Amino acid sequence: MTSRALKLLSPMEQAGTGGDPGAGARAIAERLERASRGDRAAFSDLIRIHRPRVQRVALRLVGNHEDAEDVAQETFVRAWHGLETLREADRPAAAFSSWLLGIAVHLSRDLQRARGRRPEDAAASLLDGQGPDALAGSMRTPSAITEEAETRRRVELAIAALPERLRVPFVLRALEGQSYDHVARITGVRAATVRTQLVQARRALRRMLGPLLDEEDGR
Amino acid sequence: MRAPRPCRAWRESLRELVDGHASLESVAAVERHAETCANCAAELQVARRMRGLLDGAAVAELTRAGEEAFIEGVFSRIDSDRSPTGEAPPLRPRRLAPRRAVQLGAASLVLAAAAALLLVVRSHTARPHGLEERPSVAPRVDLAAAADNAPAETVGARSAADRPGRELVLGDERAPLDLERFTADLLHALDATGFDPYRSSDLQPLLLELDMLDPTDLARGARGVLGTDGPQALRGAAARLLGPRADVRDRALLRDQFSTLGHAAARSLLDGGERGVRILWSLSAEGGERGAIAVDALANASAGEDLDPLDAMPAETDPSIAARVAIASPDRMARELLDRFLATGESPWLDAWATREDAEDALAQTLERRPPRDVERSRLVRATTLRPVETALPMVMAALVDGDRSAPAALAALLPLGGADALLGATASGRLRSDFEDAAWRAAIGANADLMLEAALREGAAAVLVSATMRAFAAEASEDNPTLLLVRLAARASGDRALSSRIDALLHLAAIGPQSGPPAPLLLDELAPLRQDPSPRLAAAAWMAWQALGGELDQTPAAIDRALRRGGPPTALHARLTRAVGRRSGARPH
Repeated sequence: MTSRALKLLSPMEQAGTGGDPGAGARAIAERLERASRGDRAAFSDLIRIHRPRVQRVALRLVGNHEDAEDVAQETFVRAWHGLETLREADRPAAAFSSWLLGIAVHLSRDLQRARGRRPEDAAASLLDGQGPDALAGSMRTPSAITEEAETRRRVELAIAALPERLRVPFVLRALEGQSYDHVARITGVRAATVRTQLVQARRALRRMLGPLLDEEDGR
Repeated sequence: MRAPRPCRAWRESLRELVDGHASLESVAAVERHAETCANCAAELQVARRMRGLLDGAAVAELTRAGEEAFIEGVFSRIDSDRSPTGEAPPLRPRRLAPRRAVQLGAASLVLAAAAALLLVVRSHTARPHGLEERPSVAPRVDLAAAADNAPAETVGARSAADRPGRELVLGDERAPLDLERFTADLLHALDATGFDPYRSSDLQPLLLELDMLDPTDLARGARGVLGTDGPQALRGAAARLLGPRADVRDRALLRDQFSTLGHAAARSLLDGGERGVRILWSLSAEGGERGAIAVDALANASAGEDLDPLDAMPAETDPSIAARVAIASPDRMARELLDRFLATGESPWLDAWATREDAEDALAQTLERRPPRDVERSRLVRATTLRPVETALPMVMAALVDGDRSAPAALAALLPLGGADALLGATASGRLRSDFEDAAWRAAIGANADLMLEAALREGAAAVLVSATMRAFAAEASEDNPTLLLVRLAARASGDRALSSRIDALLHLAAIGPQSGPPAPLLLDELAPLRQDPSPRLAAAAWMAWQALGGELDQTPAAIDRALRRGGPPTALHARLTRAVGRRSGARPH
């Protein structure tokens, strides 16, 4: 189990499921069942569990915190209305996670398209509040902080510059730790297609990040 | 410059490393391999740096602050969505939701822009092989209209709009794209126009691939284009790009889109090798337009140099379709085609065999190597009608005796190869059934009357010829050759034995009267000397034929009577002839 998966379960651990590997899934399934009958407390638990990931993915795709939170909220609203559809799923907990991310991805896409946002705008917004000033509290030198902020900005710009069809699977896989199958389920394409999209995304990033990689090489 | 590629076996491990999914064991294994492989060592370094950069760019974890407000907001929205009846509404677009029409419109606009871009590409480059302008066979897209719809900020859209009436032409869709030229020219044009694929829509995967990936990855871009509702020409080009790189799913996609992509999909399937060819064979069985395109593609491939579709033909293929493809194949041996015809009896195989230069050799070899079985013999007889060989004569005569319907035509084809003498002999011997004898003579006289006449005269078988000719004529009244044949027989047969035949021929002519066919003056010219023949009976018969064929009665019946009397005392024939002439002329015989 990856560290990201562990992060997913940590809220459940807080809810008292302990370290039992299957306990998290069972707890989510139990809350799903209750939520589908209209139990708002159970659904609130589900929101607490999944909100971080949903909002993080949305942030990567829409590029600013305000819209990302908006997308995340709307994602859960859609989920509430569609909980019935999960009742017949074999593994409702896993299905719910992919389903939520799928909704978030689609909503983010819709928002981006509706607003016609350019990738570099998105990247600039994403970096708002995370420039050198945000790193100033660390013990590093000012020049190191500035350099790190610049590197981060360039990486964000490169990711944001990826075409959407490559950016979505790349974010889900390389930044959110999803498996190929999950990415395929979320984006609604074949797993093989996801693999090829990711190859393309990595190559594109490598090309765009070439100078940074060279700089690293020179160190 | 492109970085050296890592070993295939380790690529996935390196990808997992970039993605942050590599296990410790996997990383350790790559490291061990990298100690002995410079390419992989370099790739490992790059992968680690990439991962490091990505980790550094990770979005900060959300804090719990604001969590309750967030949840409250969710339920607030849920409550505001409830209808007055208290039921939750179905999922529907909210303020974030797309307007589908706008989405679709945007997609089509971007595709139009893609088409516009390709026009610009053409305008900036020398004409490549794969993009040659052809008059009518290639699909065309009106780029003026496309450019009108293109987003203003799209590179190339304005340029295209400045060139109203220009069309996107992507070459002959039945021919494979020249990939290297296509790629080189497109990339050159991208540079020239300053087009940035990263800023383009996600509906430009093909351009992205061309810009930054090696040719083996073009399939991905082509798939992306095929998955859109883009212009036919663009999708056709994508299909052809995909062809040699298509996997099983691509082939299924091409099959699904065969109706809209047509020849481009067929070309792509052909370029995909044997599996693609098999799909074309199955499509060919569907009939209709899809089937016709598939057969056309298979036939074109047969005529080309790349592969022979017959090698991948399923056993259950409709022989008529297979034969149509076979006809186009110059390398297909006549003997193989003939064997297929003998096995199936399908005419297209026979037609295909007959078009081969070595068809007659193949037929002779087949006759030589094995005695034909009944069913095969009948088919071989049919083959003989198209490409006759001397060795087929015994078989054809046997078939004629047995009453094979194809035998008369086959025998007619064999006349110069001994068929004429064989028919005369068979008729004289009385071995043939009368109806087949008549059919054989009709066919023979129809095919070469002069040859039959020569053979009959050479063999002293004028009587046989006259008899057979008349029987054939009686069976087929529209035959016109017998008229000329009888005239010539009457004129040329010589010797005592031939006299009665000559008279018979003339009397037959008198009986049948004028027919269509050779012009009467020609016939009368042949008949005229016979009226003065020393044989009064022949002369009298010639007068009858002359009159029957429309000749002027420039002599009186008395002259006929004198001619007859020169031969001796009046006979029954004399009486018959003078009565007949008198009736026709209205004059009383002397």
